[in-house]
Order: sequence, then structure tokens, then C-alpha cells
Amino acid sequence: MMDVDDQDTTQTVQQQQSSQDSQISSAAVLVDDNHPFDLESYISNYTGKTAIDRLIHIISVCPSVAVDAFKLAVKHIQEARDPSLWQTLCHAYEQVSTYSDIKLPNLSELPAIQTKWADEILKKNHSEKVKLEAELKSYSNNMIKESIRMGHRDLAEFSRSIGDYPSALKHWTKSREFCTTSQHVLDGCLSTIELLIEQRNYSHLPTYVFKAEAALEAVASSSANAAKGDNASSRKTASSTTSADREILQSKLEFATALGQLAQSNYERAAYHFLRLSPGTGSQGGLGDWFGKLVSPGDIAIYGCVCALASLSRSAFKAQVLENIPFGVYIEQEPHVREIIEAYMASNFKGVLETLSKYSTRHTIDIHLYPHLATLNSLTRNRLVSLYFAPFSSIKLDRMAQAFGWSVTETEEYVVGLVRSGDIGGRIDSRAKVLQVKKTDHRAELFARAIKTGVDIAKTNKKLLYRMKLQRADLLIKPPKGANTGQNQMADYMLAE
Amino acid sequence: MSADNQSIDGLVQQITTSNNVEVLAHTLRNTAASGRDVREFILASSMSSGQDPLSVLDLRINTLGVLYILSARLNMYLNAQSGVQGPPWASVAQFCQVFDPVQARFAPERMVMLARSLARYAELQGNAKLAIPLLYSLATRLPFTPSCLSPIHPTLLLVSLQNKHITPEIIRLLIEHPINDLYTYFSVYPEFNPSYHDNLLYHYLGGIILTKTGNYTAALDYFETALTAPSTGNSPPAGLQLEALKKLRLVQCIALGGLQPLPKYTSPILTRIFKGTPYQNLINAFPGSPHPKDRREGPSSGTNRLKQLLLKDRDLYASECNLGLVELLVAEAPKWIIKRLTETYVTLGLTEIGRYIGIDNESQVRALVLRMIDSRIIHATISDSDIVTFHDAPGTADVSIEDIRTLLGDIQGGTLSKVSVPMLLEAVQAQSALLSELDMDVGQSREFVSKAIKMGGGNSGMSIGSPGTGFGPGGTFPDEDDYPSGSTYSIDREDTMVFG
Repeated sequence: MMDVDDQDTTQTVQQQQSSQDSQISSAAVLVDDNHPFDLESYISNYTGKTAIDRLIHIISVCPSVAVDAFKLAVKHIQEARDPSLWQTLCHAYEQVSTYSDIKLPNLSELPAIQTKWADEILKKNHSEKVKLEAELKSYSNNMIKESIRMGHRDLAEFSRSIGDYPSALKHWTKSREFCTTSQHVLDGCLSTIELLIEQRNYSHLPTYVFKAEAALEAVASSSANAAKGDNASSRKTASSTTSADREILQSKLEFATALGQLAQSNYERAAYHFLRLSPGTGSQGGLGDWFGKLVSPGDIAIYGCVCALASLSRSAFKAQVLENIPFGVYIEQEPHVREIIEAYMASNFKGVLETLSKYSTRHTIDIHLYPHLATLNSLTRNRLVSLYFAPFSSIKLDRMAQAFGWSVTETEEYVVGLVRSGDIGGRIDSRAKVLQVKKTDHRAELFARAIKTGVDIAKTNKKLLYRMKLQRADLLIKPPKGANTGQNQMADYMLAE
Repeated sequence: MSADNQSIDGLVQQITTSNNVEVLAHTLRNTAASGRDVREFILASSMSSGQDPLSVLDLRINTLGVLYILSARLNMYLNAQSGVQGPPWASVAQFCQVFDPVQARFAPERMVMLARSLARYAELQGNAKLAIPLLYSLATRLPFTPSCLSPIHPTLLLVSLQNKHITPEIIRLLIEHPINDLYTYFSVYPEFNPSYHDNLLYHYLGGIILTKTGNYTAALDYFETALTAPSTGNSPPAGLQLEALKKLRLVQCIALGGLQPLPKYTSPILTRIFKGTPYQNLINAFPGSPHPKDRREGPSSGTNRLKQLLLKDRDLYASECNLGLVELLVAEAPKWIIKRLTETYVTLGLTEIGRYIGIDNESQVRALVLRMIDSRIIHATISDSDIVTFHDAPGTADVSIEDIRTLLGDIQGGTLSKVSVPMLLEAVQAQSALLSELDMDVGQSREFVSKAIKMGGGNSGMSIGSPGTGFGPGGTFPDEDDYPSGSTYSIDREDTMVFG
């Protein structure tokens, strides 16, 4: 069973990678005065593998900073232990330099990693792997559960660090079998979740979150019991799961769930989960050690805000975002998110859209958010247009266009789309360029509906009665006696037309 | 009475003298016990005096006897090489008009036999269309009500379609008397018994005729009935049903601008097969369909895609005899695009409309819009400067007389032009009364009583005085396998059931 699971994951990873490749260069973004973005300060929020992943993504979507990103990525790769990342990096760079309009320097002019270093790392990786595997084997022979679990865990961590995700996942799942306490289960699940997020393999997240939640419950209750039973000896175990720790764990799970929902395009749910994360920016609060390793607090602010804008009603937005004091801590990390929220609450829709487009670079370079950005933005836009129109019974399109900073034709296009989809109950006077509320005579509508329903039901009723009569008379369609006759008969009838 | 069953003379004598139709029917049915062929031969032969038995008999008073003789003779005559002389056309025609239905109902299978030979006989007479009024008369007069299906019905439609001669009577019959009952009987000749096929064929052909004559609403009902014909548990759906589904979908697009949900009893096999046909793409590309992805709103897209699809599978549509409908579908598409535009716009220039529907010629667009205004599909006005203003639809219910014809049935005749609420209420009340009557019938039936007793377990309280809410007039009618449970409906074993 586990094998199947593993295969499944590797497949999805491959699929994701191939789909990423095809998306490259389709969504190139700019960095200029109108779209500010500071690569250095952005990437300084991240460490390790995620920094490299993000840099590679930046190279593929943002050619104007590709060179800088490339240099940074080389630096990061040399600090890591996975030389194969170098190939991925070069591949991304080459692709973007063939597609983009901006002239990029040739790959050979850029710093490269030394082959000597790569060889050394590979050798070192190999010897460490052999060592760890030997250790695991001896543990297995001794049949000490805890040691075996640790052996698997070490191997998993090691595999992850060298970029061998399938085997990392395999060892994590194996280690589960040797867990003796819920704490171990919890650790295993969280590490797996971390691994999945790093791989951007969102589809499996909910499963592990579910398992981890159960384990978290168990840990909490057992530590509570222990604390009650024997104060002196339990202090040690209880200290490992203080309430702060628990909050961090809970937040991590919320974050994973939110990402899972985001991946499935359940933006509203994703928004609620993002907004529920506990505050804290250092290693003390929030997501604890995941900050830097996986995300930055600023990312959380962006995710939460963008999803909420696209999916929540105005009142829900107010309650969930503006009056959500814990989430305010995240918002402080990204001043432009605060700007957006303030503009939205002040009904300055133009401001919202302008800020969104101003920081579109920042949003597009995010590895978790970018596949959904276009959808989220258009949802936000639709919501804003509907909100704007709500108090009017008729409004000129050019006033609307002014309020949103669009041209009249653009506005008309959006409004037509919304009218078609039924989000706005209005009609457009394309001559005078006026949007009017549809006037409905509810009484007449009710009558019409009642009559229509009544007639429909009566008709269906008659047909059913007739059908019953057919059944009672045993006039049922029977399988054809000869296979051929049916065909011939059919031909006859069709000729009849 | 020494009945002479062995010769035509004896039979004619019995026919003329008998005053009990039932006995006569029995005699005729069992003429010459020696076998069917002999019997037919005797019936078809001339009298010993060389006289034609038909000349002796009165076509109306001796309906039953004439029917036997006519049907036998026609059948023998058409069966080649039998050497039997065909009956004179005039007497056949006259018989069909004047026969006495009460007598004829003693031998419905002979009527069917006669009906099936009529078309060929008319053809031999030089004009197959001659058979149509005769068949019409047979089909409408034999059953108890005109809404009752007999095996003659499909023959009538088939002949009329094959000869491309659709009379106004047939259309009126189809529209005003949708089938709601079956004329059932049992005869010794299995080929003349009513079969599921009659039902399928009649409704399928009826749908085609109504589509041809532009009565789309009624046509949809006919196709639906053909589509939902019941089948035995393991039987695959009939080929005709698939054809009915194709036509149903096309007509839905043409008449209603989009798809309607299929009736509950549609076989899932049919819908699955249908999804694999080019028709599925075609109706998805139709402007009113719920697949905006295929539709791709915007200037001149919808109709172009339809035209491409039409060209692509043209041969298939032609070979399945749906080409005409498909072409109509493509031609009707602009109408529905305009109809959709009225939901979005208040005013729109003719040129803009033209852009949406892919027609550059402004006068064509104007003609189309005018036609739609005339036929009240849209409510709009065109100004001097070629601006079309769409008005809100007036607040009347969009129910045509056509829609509720089935409801009103033949209470009102065909002269109605407006539907009023009292009329509808009356129709609904009539329907409720009918349902409650049926309900009582079910309640009296042996099957129901035994089931009710089984479920109620005998003496667990009597609640018959107040039938459950589901069982009064206007209440719902339970499905066949959905009998009320014992708690609401328990019956004492000794008691007869009393309702309301």
C-alpha cells in the first residue's frame, strides 16, 4: 500500500514539474518603479531549500532580476547539499533566456559552482548514506523500536537534504510503524507535511494534517493526564508540549490546511485558515521554525489578504481581517497589505486594484500563490464591481470607469461579464453607457413561476400515469430477439422522416 | 341451430341473422377449427352463387362480419398468388368511415389487420395517400377515446410520413389528444397484439410530424414519452429511444434556446451513448447551453463554431436524417444570442447585434430582429438611428395554450387563444380529482390491500377515518413501490377499506 502511495507522489511531483516548465515565460513580470520589488530583502526571509526554490521560480517568471537571482541561487546551492539543484537552476535560466525579450547574459558569463565542490558533496553524501543505512540495519537487528524509528528519521532527514524526496517520504512513512508515543507520530506527520509543502505537493496535505491533528489531541490529553497524576516526574514531558508549542503546532496544521484548500481553489476556506494562524514572527510564535524554512510572515499576510479579498463578503472581511488582532501582526510585515485593506474598507476600489497591480510582481514570484493569482485577482475585481454597483439603481459607465481607473470599454466588458454570470442584476444601455438595475415585478414573477411549475408538474404527472399504464399492460421494451432485426427496423423508421 | 361454419354461405347467413354480437364474434373467431389458413380462405371466398358476400351485407349493421371478410380478403389479395380478388376500393373506403365501433371492438385484431393492409392496397390503387383518411378514421373511432393508443395509430403516422402527406386532422389529433391510455386486448395472433413498439413508434413519429409542422412544445412531449418508455429490467434501450433523444435535444435547442433536464426515467445508457455522439458538441456550442467554455461569448463566435461543427459531421447528420434539424439549429442560433443580449443590454445598435451574431449585413440583422419582435420572442423597438431598445418583458406568465393543452385536455376544444388563471385552476382541480380517483382505485385493489395488511400488521389501531395527508385530493400520488407505511394506514382484517 505504501508503495502505491509513494509512486503516486513521485508521479504528481513529476507532473507538477512538467506543468511548471510549460508555464514558464507565460507569466513574465516586470520589476520597475511601478512594480517595486527588492530581491535581496525578499530572499533574506528564507533559508535553505525554499530560498533556492523561490529563486529558481523568480528566474523563470521575472527575467529582469534573473541574473541577480541566479547569483544568489548559486550562493545558496553551495551552502546546501544537493548538487542536482544546479541543473534545475541552469535549466530554468536557459529557458527564460530563450523565451524572454530581455537580453540576458549567457550562462557561461555567470558564476558557476565548482565541479570539485559538487564531487566532494556527492562523495560525502554517499558515504553518509551508507553510514546511516548501516546504522539502521544494526538497529533493525537489535529490534529496538525507538532506535529503528530514529534510524528512519535520520535517513529521511538526510534524503530530504540531498533532494531525494521519494526516499525521504518512504522513510517517514516507515518510521511511523515504529512510533511508540503520539509525540513521535506528530513529529513524523509534521515532517511529512513540511516535506510535502516544500515539494508543493498539496493534494496529500489534508491526509497528514488529519493524522497530525489526531496525534496532537492524543499528546495534549496524555500530557494533561500525566500532569494530574504525578507532578514531579511529568514535568519533563509536560514541558515539551507547553501551550505555546501547541499553538505553534496548531498553526502549522492550519497553514498546511490552508495551502491544501488554496491548491483546490477553495479560496474562502483557505482565507479562513490563513486568518486563523496565531501571531508571532520569531521562532517563539506563529509557525515557529517554519518561518524561513518554508514561508515568511509577510507571505502569510499576502495569502490571507488576497484570498479574503477574493472570497469574503464585506462584513466577513471586516470581522475576519480588520478586527482580527492576531492577524494584524502579520499585516504589519507587509505595509502594502495594510494599504489594500484600508483602501478596501474605505471603498477606494481604485486604490485596491492599483495596489494589487503595483505589487503583482511580489505576488507572482510567490511559489504557492502564483498559480491562483489570475483567478484571485479577477474574483476580487468582480467583487469590487458588484459592491460598487450595489447602492445604485442606474449609473453611468464612465463614472464607474473613473472610480476603478479603467477605460469605458474595459468597464463595459467587465460589467457585461458580471451581468451574464448573474452577479449583477442589471442591464446595460450601450448607447448612453448606463448600467441600470433590472426592474422585476415580483408579483408577476411569482405568478409566472407558480403557473409554470404547476403546468410542469401536471405534465409530468400525466406522463407518469401513462408510463404506469404501459407497465401495467406489460408493454415493456424487451431485448431484441434477433440482433439484426432491430437495425433493419430502425433504418425503416429513419427513412420515414 | 346447426351452425355452418365451413362455408362462406353459412357464415353470411349467421352474420345476417345473428342478433347477439358476442356469440357471432365467437363463431367468427372459431370459423373452421381446422386452422388459420383455411379460415382465412373461407372468409375470403365468394358465395356459392358467385355473389360477393359484401354486397349482401350492410357495412354498418353487419360491421363485425364485414370486418372479418374484408380483412381476410385484403390480406389474401396482398399475399400474392392466392388468386383472391381484392375487395372493391369503394366498399373498403366506405366501411372505414361508417363501421360501428361497438361491434368492431369485438375483433380489434382484425381491425389492426385491415389497417396494416390498407396502405399497400391504396398503393396498388395508385395512390397511397388514399389510405390516410381511412386509417385516421379507424384509429380515432376504434378506441374508446381519441387519446387511447391502438396499434393502428403508428401505422397511420408511418403512412402519412412516408407519403409526405400530413393532414391537418393528424396534427390536430396529435396536439389535442396526446395519448394517455392504452387500448388493450388479447388475440390469438401475436402480431396484431399491441406491443411496446407501437408506443415507441407512435410517439417518435408524432414528434417528427410535430417538429416538421413547427409545434415544438408538443413535439418535445412526444419525444419525451418515447424516451422514457419503460423497459424490462435487463433490456437495453431501444434504438428508437436514442433517435428520440437526439431529436429531443435538437428541438430543445431550437425551441427553448437551451437544454432542459431530461425526465427522471431516462436510461443512463442513452445519455452515455449520446455523450459520445457529435450531437453533444453541437448542443454544447449552442448559445443557450450551459457550457460557456465551448460557447466563447463575443463577436461572431457562437454561430461560427456551430457552422464548423455542422460541416464537420455533415454526412453523419445526413445519414441519420437529422441534417434538416441540425441546419435549423444553426439557423436559429442567432435568435437565441439576441435573446440573451436582452438580458444584458437595454439598448444596442444593429451593427453591434450583427457583430454578436456574426452577420455583417445590417438589413439582415434588422429583418431578424423584426421577426423576433413580431413573434414576441423579444420585446423591443428599433429607432430611426438603428438603435434597438429592449423592453422589460411584460409581467405576464409565459404560458402558451400549447403548453397546457395536455392539462386542459379536450375540455375546451381548439378555439382558445388566452390562458387565464381560473382556467388553469380548473384544469388543476380536474387533475387532482383524477388523481384521487386513481388513488381510490389503487386502494381498492387486491394487491394494495394485501400489502397494507402485511405492513400494518393487523390490529394496530384504525386510522382509516382520516386518510393521511398524502391521500386526499390534491395530495401526492405515491410511486408504485411507495405505499404508505403501516403507521399512517393500518387496516383491520375484517374491515373493508373506507376512504374519506
